[in-house]
Amino acid sequence: MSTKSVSKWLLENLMSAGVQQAEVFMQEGSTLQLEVREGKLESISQAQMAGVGIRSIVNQKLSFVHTSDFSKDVLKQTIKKAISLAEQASPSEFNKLPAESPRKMVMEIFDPEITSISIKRKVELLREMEAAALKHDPSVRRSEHVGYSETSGTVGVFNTNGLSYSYDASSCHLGVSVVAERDGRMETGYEERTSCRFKRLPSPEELGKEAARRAVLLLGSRPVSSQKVPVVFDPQVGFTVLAALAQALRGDNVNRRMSYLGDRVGDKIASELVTIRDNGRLPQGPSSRPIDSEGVSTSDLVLVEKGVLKDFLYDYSSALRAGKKPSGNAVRGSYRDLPQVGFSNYYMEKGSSKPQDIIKDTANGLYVTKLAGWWLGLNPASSDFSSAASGLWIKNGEFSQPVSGVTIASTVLDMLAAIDAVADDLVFKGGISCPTFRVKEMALSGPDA
Amino acid sequence: MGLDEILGEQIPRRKFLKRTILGGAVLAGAPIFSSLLSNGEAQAQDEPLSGMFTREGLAQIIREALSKGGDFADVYVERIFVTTIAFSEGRVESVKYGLDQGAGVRVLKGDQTGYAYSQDLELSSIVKAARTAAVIASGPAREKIARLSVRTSMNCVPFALNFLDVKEKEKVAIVERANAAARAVDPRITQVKLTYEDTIDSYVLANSEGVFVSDELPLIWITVDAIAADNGKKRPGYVRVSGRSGFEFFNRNSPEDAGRKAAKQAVTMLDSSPAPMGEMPVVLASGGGVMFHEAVGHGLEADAVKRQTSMFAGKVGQVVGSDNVTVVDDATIPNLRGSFNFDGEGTPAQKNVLIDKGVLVGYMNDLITAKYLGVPPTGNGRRESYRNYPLVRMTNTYLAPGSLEPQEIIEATQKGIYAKDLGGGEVDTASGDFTFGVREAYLIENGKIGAPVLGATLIGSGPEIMKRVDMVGNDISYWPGTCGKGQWVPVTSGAPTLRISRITIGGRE
Repeated sequence: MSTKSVSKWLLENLMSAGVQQAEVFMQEGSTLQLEVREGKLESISQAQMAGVGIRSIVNQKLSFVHTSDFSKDVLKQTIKKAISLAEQASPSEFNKLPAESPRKMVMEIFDPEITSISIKRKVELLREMEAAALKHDPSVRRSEHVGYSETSGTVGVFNTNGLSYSYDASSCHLGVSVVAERDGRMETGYEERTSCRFKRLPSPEELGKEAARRAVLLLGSRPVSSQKVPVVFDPQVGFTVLAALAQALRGDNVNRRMSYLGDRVGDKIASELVTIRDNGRLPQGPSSRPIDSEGVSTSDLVLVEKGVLKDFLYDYSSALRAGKKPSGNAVRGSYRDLPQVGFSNYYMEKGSSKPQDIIKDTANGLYVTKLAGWWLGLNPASSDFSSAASGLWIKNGEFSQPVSGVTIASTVLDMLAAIDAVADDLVFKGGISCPTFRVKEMALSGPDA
Repeated sequence: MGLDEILGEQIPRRKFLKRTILGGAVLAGAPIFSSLLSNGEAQAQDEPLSGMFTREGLAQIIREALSKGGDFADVYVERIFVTTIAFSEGRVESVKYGLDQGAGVRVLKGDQTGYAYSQDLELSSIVKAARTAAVIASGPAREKIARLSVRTSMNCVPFALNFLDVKEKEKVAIVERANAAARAVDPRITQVKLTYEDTIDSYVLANSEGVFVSDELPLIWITVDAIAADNGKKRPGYVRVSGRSGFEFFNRNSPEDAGRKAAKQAVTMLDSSPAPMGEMPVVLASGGGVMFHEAVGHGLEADAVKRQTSMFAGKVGQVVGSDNVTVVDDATIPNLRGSFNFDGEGTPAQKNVLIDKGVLVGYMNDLITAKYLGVPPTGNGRRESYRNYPLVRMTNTYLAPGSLEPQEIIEATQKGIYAKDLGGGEVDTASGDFTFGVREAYLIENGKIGAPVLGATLIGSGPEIMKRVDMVGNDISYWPGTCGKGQWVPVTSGAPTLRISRITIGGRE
């Protein structure tokens, strides 16, 4: 049975079993992961997968079941389970499925060649990436992780309101992490990139060199003592501020009064240099999709414009509850998950400064290249931010000694309001992206002098 | 503790229960696992399909895996039934149920791993996966495959009430009880969000060295997120309780206690001030094991040692902590979230002392690293699911208790921080730099617990901080967590009340 006919069969049987609204989310495809070490293939993992997730609304109550077994008997039992489960949920008038059919969109998010490019070729890419990293500097002794992964397949969303949309998508990812060593101490650096198309991945040499550079710059790093200073965020770590803001921007958290941004649409929550977007339609964006995981058309959403909070992100049901239009932000990890509010290509818009000019303009502060533990304690209700930090000290507008063993802390809202420079070096590497930016002051905590 | 293999034909201690998607009694048509009986054939009442998991079926898969040479192969077949309840604003938002099943085949050739999995449990599909995994090698087929014989172990995860036999209504009741208790704590509690999840995980593993294990493991957790609001300020409180028990878990782990604890944390933190900056003594309340999981745990996973990306490589026999520090990883502690009977490679669970009174005595291993280091396997080769090949992972990792009363430790501290509840953490094993988060903390002034301070991140370098553990209490407890390393496994981190004489706090005042 084809995906479409299985879905049709499921929806018909769900309806005749007494379900008022139902949605079938189908996912099938292939995955591949490769790891190289010391020039050799270390591991290869492959699979073909297929599965279905079914949302059922019975008397306004919501249940969800999933299976990867498509035999008729199992599907029949799955339907029975979906109905008996719904009985245990509480009714809500907002348990509704999208009714509008999204307009068909052609997006270049599927690479028809990706699965036919040989494994040998992909392994070669990894070997080149590792070799470039190890060649970069004699202190770069070994790699920690050199990996390629890819997924390719079809997603289909079908519901009892007549919504029926399927599309092909692929994604490939290169990641490299290396260790530099000096005087018995090791430091690590990494770089990665995600793309929908194999040919659009950057050169492996570029990624390998960058990972090596980031490790080498930390060699000999030492803590500094506690002080309040400006902090410049390298793009690889600046995304953490957006990640910290993310949960508070979710419309479902706002509806539940769990967000510190609730009621603040229209308020200035950041400096006017800050514009933040979530664009599900970004051309060549690593997370671009024609529809979200409920079948709602994706959109280009301005969340913060020149510092002013404009909007939250919604899925269908949270949008209904808030009296807003759904923005196409329903996300699922896989067919095994219920959709929930999430992000696509989420980023801070580039500014007009040059990154090197921001450094030159900083008399005394920290240029952060690595953050750890920043995600601990993040929650939508309170905006505290505290993280281990490493990078380069900036003295009189120039890089001086490498720093590690310190923390930087503030609140997300204070940080956004204190962004006083944004560079033009925005690159979409996958996930959350941002350019270099500076926060005027943060509390840097270190050991006593 | 070495390999504990029982030769001969014995019925596995745990038979696969015949479950369908409904979780009820046997119905025709659903794929079934069978136990190996004395004559190696399927039980009489099995479906005709189920011959695939006879001795011969598993041997066929392994032979196919080694059809291009290779040193070793294993096949891991798994079925996971999961139920999840999402609850907030006083109502059940959704109830979720699923069956996740598949088979993964691994082939090792020297230092290389080939892996493939299939969600289709037909023998032919698993054989196809085996063929795919086999391409890591390129030589003549391995002829000799050891005859499978059942390996048994002690039962570290006994359970009584299988979740599949408990009505969803009763599960909802647990969540409702936690919610009611949370909301009753204080009128400033404005929101409570809860998640309940239970899992029954059945698997069969067979390898080319003749090991066969099968097991059925329960896992249960509930999380409570509470928000307290006052004067425009919101503060969170959070609790997770978890264990490998059946539904009887809630007889000993009261949902009301969980709800109340999360709500009290939120209310307390309404009065908190920002944490201080700089270095100071920190007393961790019982349950602060996350620090050890990050500070030394990951660095003692032998795959990082083998790759020389751990700062603990080559340090066996050296002092890596104060003599108060004995760190153990133990998967045999009954019914803890990190416990099991066999790891993901069929090695029986065991207790491993990693650091003994400050001296590094050993690492955690899987079969690959054990072979490399020339040591016996330690039962740390775990996998998230059939979708993953095993890696060296922790289980229940803890600082062994000392003899001090917790109160003594607080009273002995002039000025510092009392970290009552920790969040998670992370580590860079190469540099040794680790961090862990604090959800609920208080100032210590003159040996007394004072005002609450906001959660901050604490940082340090592994051995440096281990050498500063200067007081260890007698009150160990275990914090449930989920550890990520490219794949996720359930763990606990345990510790008694303890003091670190000096550590940097990521505060802002």
